[in-house]
Amino acid sequence: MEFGFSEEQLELRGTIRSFARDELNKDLVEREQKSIFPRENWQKCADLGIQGLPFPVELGGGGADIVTTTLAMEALGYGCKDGGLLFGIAAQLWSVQMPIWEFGSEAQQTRYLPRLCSGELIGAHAMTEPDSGSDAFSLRTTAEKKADRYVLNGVKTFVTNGSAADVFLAFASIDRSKKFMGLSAFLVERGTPGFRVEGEIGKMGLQTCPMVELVFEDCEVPAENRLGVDGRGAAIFQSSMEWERSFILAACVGAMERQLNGCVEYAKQRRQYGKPIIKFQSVANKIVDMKVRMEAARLLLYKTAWLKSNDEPATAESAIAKLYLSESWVQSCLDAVQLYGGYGYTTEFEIERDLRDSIATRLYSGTSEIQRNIIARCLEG
Amino acid sequence: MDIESELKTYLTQLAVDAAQDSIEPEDDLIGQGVIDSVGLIKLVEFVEQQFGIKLDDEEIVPENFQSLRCLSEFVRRKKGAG
Repeated sequence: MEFGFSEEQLELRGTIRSFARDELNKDLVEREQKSIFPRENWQKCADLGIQGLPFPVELGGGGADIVTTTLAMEALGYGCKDGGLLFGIAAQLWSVQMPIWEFGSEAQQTRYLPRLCSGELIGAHAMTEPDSGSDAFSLRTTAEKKADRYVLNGVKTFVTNGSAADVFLAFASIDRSKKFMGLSAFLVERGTPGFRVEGEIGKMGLQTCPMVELVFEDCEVPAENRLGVDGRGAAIFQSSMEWERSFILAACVGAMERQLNGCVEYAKQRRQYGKPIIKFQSVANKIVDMKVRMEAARLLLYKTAWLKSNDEPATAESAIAKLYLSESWVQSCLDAVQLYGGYGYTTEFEIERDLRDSIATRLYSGTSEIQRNIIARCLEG
Repeated sequence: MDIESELKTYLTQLAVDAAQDSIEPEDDLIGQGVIDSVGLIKLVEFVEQQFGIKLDDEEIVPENFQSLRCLSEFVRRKKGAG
């Protein structure tokens, strides 16, 4: 059993932490209040190679293994305080690029992956519909085969990166009688006739990451844009969700460490009743709980990364990691606000933003309740 | 135990609806909800481990998983081809 990282991995972590701290946080309070998508910072991340990390060099990627990629995402979360940007990048990486790599034809991989890695294109994943969230496979969007095209009709919602995206991985039913095995996946490019992006969805946190609805009205998609064979949509979705469950919160582990370090420093400097507040057990215990949660979250994250690196099944492990990381992140954010007292509630101290962002981690990529369902199903044998 | 019997035993355990205590060869596994999307992942893992075969992505389609009979015949073909 090996818990350490190589020199190269640690060097990469250091580089990304510094980059993220120095380059990605400028004017964040203002940008967050105005819900501005940081296109320039997205490009900076791509220039550093973040979006391409786990993909083959010949497809514009960095050729990194999954453990190294996870470490890089954690480092990004340590340095970058922009939860919306972190979420948007991770969503593209795991739920758009990864399915294209795993299920795409050579032509699809060549067409999209290099440009998604380089930042030229932004990708979005479109599964959820107004009437199908956790029950994802009851979706109503249809795809009717007509000669060399599919005609898509339906509405998607909660589409991350939506208004900034250029290419959308959309799921539709080709045969409702076949239920989840009657789904197919399609790569739909912005500008395709019959396809439009609707208004921004206001939300509690992750303000710099746009979220929209998509409308397909007799939208004709060339057959060569179908990802995988007909009927494999559910498997593609499941696979992409396993990647998401596993790693979309890697950045949160980095953020937990950043937040913990900040809390320790604050509690050492802040004095009440003549001594630093860290000397009060009620404060110290809170910090210890944050530390324990962070360490446990990190172990679960890297166990899953190790499994995925070795092409091992990780259905339960990914759900356990997602469940624990999200719940831990929310609790640690609550603890941090409490520790900072009134200052924790202010925008200036940038603690309340973490809390608002953290709430979404219990919802996206499968709610905590769905993660528990997955774990329970795995326990059944 | 032959292929169909082994699959039937596993599918009976896997059935989403616990009331489904008997699976007939022509039962629609998907339409009747015997297997859902998570169940399909587990079924694929079971088939690969139990019968020592590797399923390609293109093979995990309704035609091969629609019924116990379809699945048994598919496994038999794969084993024969291996």
